[in-house]
Amino acid sequence: MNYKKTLLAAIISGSALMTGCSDNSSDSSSNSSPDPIATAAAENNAWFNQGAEAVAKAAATTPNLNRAKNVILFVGDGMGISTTTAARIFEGQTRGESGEENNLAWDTFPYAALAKTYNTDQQTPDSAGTMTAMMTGVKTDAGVIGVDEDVERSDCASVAGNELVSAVSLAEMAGKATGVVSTARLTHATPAATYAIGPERDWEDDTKAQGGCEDIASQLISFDEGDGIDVALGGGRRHFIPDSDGGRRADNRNLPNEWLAAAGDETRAYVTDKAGLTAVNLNTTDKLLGLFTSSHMSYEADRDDTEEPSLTEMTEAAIDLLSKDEDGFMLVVESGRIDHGHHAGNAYRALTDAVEFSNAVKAAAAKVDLEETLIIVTADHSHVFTIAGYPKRGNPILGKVVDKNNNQSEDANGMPYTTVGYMNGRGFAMLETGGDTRYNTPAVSGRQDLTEIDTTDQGYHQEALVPRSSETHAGEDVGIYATGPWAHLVQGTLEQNVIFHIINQATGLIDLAEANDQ
Amino acid sequence: MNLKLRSLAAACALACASTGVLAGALPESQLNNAWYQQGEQLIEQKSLQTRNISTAKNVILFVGDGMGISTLTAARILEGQLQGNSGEEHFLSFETFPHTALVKTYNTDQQTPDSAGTMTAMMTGVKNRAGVIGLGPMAKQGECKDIESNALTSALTLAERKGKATGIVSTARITHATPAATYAIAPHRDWEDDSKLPEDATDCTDIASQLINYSEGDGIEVALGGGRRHFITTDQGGRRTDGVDLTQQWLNAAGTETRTYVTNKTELSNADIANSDKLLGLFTSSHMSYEADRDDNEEPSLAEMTETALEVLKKDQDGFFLMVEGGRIDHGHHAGNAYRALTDAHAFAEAVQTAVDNTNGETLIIVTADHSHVFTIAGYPKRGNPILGKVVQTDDTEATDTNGLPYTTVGYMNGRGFADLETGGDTRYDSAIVEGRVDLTNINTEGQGFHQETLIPRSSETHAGEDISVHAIGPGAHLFSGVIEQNEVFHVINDAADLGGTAY
Repeated sequence: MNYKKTLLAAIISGSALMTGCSDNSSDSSSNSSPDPIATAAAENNAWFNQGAEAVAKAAATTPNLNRAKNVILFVGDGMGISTTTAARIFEGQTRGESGEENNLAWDTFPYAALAKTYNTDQQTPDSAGTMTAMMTGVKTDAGVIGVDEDVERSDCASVAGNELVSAVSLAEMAGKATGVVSTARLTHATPAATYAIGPERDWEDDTKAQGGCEDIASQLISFDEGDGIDVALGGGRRHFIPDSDGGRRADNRNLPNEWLAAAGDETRAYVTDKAGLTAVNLNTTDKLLGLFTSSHMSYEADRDDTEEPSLTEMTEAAIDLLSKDEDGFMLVVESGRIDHGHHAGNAYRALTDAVEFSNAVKAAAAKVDLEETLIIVTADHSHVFTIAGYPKRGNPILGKVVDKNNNQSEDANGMPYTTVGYMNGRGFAMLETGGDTRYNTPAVSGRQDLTEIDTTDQGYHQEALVPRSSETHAGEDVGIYATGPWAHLVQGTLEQNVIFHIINQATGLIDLAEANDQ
Repeated sequence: MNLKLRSLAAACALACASTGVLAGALPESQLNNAWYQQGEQLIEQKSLQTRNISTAKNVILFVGDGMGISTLTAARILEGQLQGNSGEEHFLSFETFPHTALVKTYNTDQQTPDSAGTMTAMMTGVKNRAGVIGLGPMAKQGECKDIESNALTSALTLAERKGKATGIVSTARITHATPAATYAIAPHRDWEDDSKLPEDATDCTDIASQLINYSEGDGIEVALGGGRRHFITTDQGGRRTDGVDLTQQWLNAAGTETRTYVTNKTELSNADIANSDKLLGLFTSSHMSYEADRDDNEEPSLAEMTETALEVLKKDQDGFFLMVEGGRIDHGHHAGNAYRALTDAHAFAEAVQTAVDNTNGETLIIVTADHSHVFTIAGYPKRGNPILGKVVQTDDTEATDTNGLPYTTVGYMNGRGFADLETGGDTRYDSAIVEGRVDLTNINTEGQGFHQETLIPRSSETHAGEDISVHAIGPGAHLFSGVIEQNEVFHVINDAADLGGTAY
């Protein structure tokens, strides 16, 4: 399936590496060099033929006008264009390659577009408004979930009449199986916007919800469109269980127990660790709830593989269960912690989570039939994360800039600087364990002498110009990548809410839902 | 458009909230929401689009030098705000083009690329090293040897061989890396005139002289831009030490052709374009002015140059190839002056619109960048907040950093940093580098003289390494799809216009 670009990439990579080698060795080994004219032609043609074949492939790719039986929407939270480029290089370098020529899973998809991410009230958006746009076709304010922009944030009374129906709800009405997978809390903004309605993203449990609005965790359990959500895997157990059980609920409800008790004829499985998930018989289980951690799941860099499943493992389990439905399925998979790695100013964790996100996309594409499954990969918004000039080819993406003459680049004060960095945030820190630990030490503004610092270490946090409690989102467009039926609609510069309409065009969700209701 | 959306949404909220009835699967409030309807209509249209597989008679390649994704978004917002709107909902002229791809820009020896290597990739289908023009990846920067075996053939040359008319337009020096890569072969981008050629580079010729002596087909029909100093002698105020006035040489070689040489806007306006076979315009000694500084009596705009170029080129029945560069978006960023980068991006978008308005369905129009810049749009300004302003949040309070200082929405990771000058842009190089934050409380950050703060103090702000975009319309535009290597731009042109380029 995955296009022949993968093969072509291997060709480029080979050629590029050859060039890299000749860079370092041609002077000393010129006596044994092959005919320079033949070598030049071979080097030129490696690129020329790669380009010619790629364009021939594009010319031969005709739009797939099949009705999509299944849809998988992958959302890399905070995965802007700079993050995908850096993660692509990082993954390639992990395999011992230069990195720049590598392709992440979606880099080989046949179509790509740009998405304008702003919320109706905010130039640089948040995840609640952006995911609502993708799930409902309606852009809305920052911070609100499943409601339009006429709602007042945090005002429960303003919700009435402004509720929106999500693509997951429509899929349920259409008789399809549905699933939500996230490495964040399942009640966090992005996954919440697939199933919940509310004026405030923070109302994850009853202790936070106000004005008579149902909290988000409770909405997941009580979701009653169609036959209910079939798979929900992620973090955030604390919002589902009482404080007496180590959770946060003050209403003494144990939502997983309620959910199990309401199984009726269905076989329902509730799991809380990787062993539990592995033990589930996906062939005989109708519905699956997995709440693996109290809050967010671990960054991929910190994940204990005996305790928590990876995003890839959760995605595969979800697809296995959902594929049993002959009417097809809709699955939303969020990599929720790319965003958190960036907010903490820790590129290492943002990129390792982005690489695992790519693994999940790759696993999904291998599991489904792309003749009948539309896969869309996108982000909700970007981050102020940059890739500076001018490192040589293959320079470690998390390293300090070494130029093509193998000299370490220095700033105006003679200090080395890193390739990647953040415009704002908590700034420099070198910690034993990086990531959310950064919030335990003060924000640091500006430059440090990095001469003796290993900036590729997992505990390194990049410098920042504007000191701030946490690094911010960025406002520029993000990528949308697609393969499968109607993926050719993913072209151009699109408002983010158009993603909903592409899903509907590909699947006919609204028509199916209405036909099912007759 | 934004206002319309908002008022429609508001109207619906009132009308639809009162009914509250489910009409089918979705509530009327959703179906009648302006955002919803806009998306629905767009997808209806896109679903009916068919591919244009006819051969492109004409190709126009627009290159916004340094115009990364963040620059597109910021320029879009600025353009919308100049029209009195919020800005975010706006589309630059080419952002409504139907086909897009993302482009991997790295050079074969550099992770974050330069313009010589990137433009060579786009013009020849072969990626090469940074700083090298028109030569394959084995050629090292500054080494004048093995020129013949490493030489590549550009799309412009292929177009000339096909009998098409060709043209080059840039706001930079016409000998600068990007325009040079359309017609020249040079191991070093800096060899713009003979005074820069090393003594041992006897097999190499300078870039200006290559433009004038270009001999493929019937030669380049139109070249408009800056950089006159590289074409005239030191005695004439130029930089050539070989005593050759290339402009005069070009005029003298006209033979039976009518050749027109112009050096300012008036001469360009007065030129008999209809009867000119070839047109050379060198409007400034070095780069042309930023759009923000341009004297409209002296220098033509990028849109005006584009329109004139098309007037000449369209006379050729065999079609044409035109490359138009917005060369100073890049320079505005290098100087850390977002104002000039964005106003030049705005002028670039206008030039694209001019091309759309002056061509027909036989023309493939491609708009892309060569690379990005370390230019960011930070959180969390409210909707419609001035893109060059300080961050004001949705609750209308000014955002402050942990030290209580306000900060701007846009900024640069590295470069010369803060300055508030009478005239912004290249003047920034006259004053010292400033590292880090300053108190912007009493500074008008939207002024043309404001230069954004920076983290890493550096002689100039750098390019950035992330993917940039390509936007296309016309025959073969659908060949741009997915994530591509930058050299594929050439192959789309080669295929779409049937230029006949082959491997080496």
